[in-house]
Amino acid sequence: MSIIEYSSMRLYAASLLFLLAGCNDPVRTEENAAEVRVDSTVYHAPAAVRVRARNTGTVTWTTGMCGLRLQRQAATNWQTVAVSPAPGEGCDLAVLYVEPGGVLTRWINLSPGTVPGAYRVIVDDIHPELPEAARSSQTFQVAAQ
Amino acid sequence: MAYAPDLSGNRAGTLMTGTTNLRAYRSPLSGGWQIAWWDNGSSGLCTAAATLKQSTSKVFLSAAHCGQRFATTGTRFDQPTLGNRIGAEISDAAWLPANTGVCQFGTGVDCRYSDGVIGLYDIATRGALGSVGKPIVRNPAYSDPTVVTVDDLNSTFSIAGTYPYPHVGETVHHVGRTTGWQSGTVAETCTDMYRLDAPTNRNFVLLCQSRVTATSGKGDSGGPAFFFNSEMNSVTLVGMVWSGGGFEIGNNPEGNTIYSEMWISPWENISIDYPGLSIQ
Repeated sequence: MSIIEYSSMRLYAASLLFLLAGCNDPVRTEENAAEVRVDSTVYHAPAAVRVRARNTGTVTWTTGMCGLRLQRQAATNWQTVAVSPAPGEGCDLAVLYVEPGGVLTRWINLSPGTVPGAYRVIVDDIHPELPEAARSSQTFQVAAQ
Repeated sequence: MAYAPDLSGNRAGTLMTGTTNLRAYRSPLSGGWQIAWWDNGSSGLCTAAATLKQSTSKVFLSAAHCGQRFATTGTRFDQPTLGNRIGAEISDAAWLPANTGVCQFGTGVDCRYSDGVIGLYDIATRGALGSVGKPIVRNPAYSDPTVVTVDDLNSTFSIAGTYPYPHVGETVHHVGRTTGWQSGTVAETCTDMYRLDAPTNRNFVLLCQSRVTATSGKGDSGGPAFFFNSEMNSVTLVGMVWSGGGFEIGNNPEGNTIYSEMWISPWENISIDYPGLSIQ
């Protein structure tokens, strides 16, 4: 047996044990759950979108005051169209705690030229190990003027 | 206690006696040490800039966004963590109204000169005037376990004075509870910085801020920025750290974001927002 075959077998065995143990979702747990919401289902740019991330898990978040991404739904994926703070704006350097049940409130601006379509906001500053979908708001529409 | 580098690769390191660190209890409190804040249900960590005198009161300077809401007093401060109260915010500079004087950035965009905030000690002896923490390593890598280690027997710099504004090309240092002792070059001065007071969605401008190419990290807000005199083991305060700048270079072992640069509020601006501050 080659080293590669041996390594592959070990990896396969480890994966099997992991699945048998009921841990087939290794990143999202009751501990690190989050619920991200925006206030409205439709916005007309320019507008300020309030983003509220509720800690629905069981551990306190250690986070900060930055790290929002506005994404627009494209044909096959989500594309980032704005970040907050914008590059060069800097980021306040406080550590912020959000206890279980607590809410992190942030805002991101829809500029006057925001293209109509389906959008969502990703909160990057909480549990970066979670997939984007677990740190994403619901989808909302930016309507034409 | 703190930990020395462990060449075996063990991040926890080896116990080093005779040391403390910038995240530990410190009394009386000097600049550069960690403080905790609590405001209207929110809480977090920042760094104290210095213990100062304002009139006859002994106060401490830190960042106004440590407490989240600008121009609103009431934030409680503890050290090093919540549960060990040292005092409360007594002065958070009022807004310069939009479209008045130097604040000309459009309707609804108010201004301030600094991100500073003043806290009053509950007990005056809790603060140490004229001193800033002195980490044992200058410009350590952000992942270095000794980044915030301080020698018990040589734990502070003395503050020799203040200087109003740094100039481009000068070397400015800072000390903070996340990245320890860092230094860099002043790259930009007197830049008006657009900000957002996140809880209230208030847009405002911090007037005439300075950018320094020194590593900074989440938690360093409120820390002292200074010129360093190695011969005298002293510092000259030139401002207070409030923002990361440049680009993100990673996360430290605590998970806090580290930036390649920092923004400071110059000492003169702090003095405009808070007249009557002195180092002794």
